[in-house]
Amino acid sequence: MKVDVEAEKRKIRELNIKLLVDHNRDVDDELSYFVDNAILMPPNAPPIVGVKAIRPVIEGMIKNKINLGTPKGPDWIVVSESGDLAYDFGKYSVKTQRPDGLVTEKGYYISLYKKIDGQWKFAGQSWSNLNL
Amino acid sequence: MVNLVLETEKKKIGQIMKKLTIDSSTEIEEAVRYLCPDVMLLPPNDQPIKGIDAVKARMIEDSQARIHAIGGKQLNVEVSEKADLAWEYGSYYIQYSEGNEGVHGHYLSIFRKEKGEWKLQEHSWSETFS
Repeated sequence: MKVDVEAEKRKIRELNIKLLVDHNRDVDDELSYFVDNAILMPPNAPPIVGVKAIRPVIEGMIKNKINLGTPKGPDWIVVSESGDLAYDFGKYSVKTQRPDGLVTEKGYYISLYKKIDGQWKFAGQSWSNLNL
Repeated sequence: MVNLVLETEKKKIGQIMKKLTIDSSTEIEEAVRYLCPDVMLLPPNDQPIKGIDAVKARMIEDSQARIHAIGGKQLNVEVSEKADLAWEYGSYYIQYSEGNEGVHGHYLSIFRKEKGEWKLQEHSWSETFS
């Protein structure tokens, strides 16, 4: 069966935006879209591997009231011909209220997605930080 | 059941990663063969490096550094069912002199198949100085 790659790209874009918006609201719902062995690769720190390890990171983002603005989605998305793997590339800008004032961080990211039981799941992300 | 075709493709990805990391320090022309024309590097604290010429220039620059030891460990490889898209991530280290703890970190590489050959499309990495 031929995969409608453009339709799959739209689903990835929706998921990318949903994950950014929902992590301000519902951690359990957010993590339901992660594969169990998802990995986060920050630019200057060890990776965070697995949903259990990622949960406190997202909880910390909520606690610290990190503002991701209005997510626009990635700059581009690539979906495999078989519609089972995908990745995206985009820019981010986050604002965090710290004791010494509002800090803005900017950079680029690459996200990984894997389709499991017909649903796209977030498999990982690596990002850069241009503020350092 | 193990899909032997995909397992073979995973091995190919691992072999290309070795050529791109270890061999690129001495054999840049050979390494460049494994880059997509619109390859992009995403350094941890800098702007992306786009295109084969810019990436080659970065490889030449990196090759000037005196490296005592370099290595890495593959943590995960995924290949799409039709073997046209794949990613690998893992850890790496670079030691600049004996006894020096050097640099270590993690990397993410994305490959696409072009005319039957895997080529590097995107490469991102983290960096932690010891």
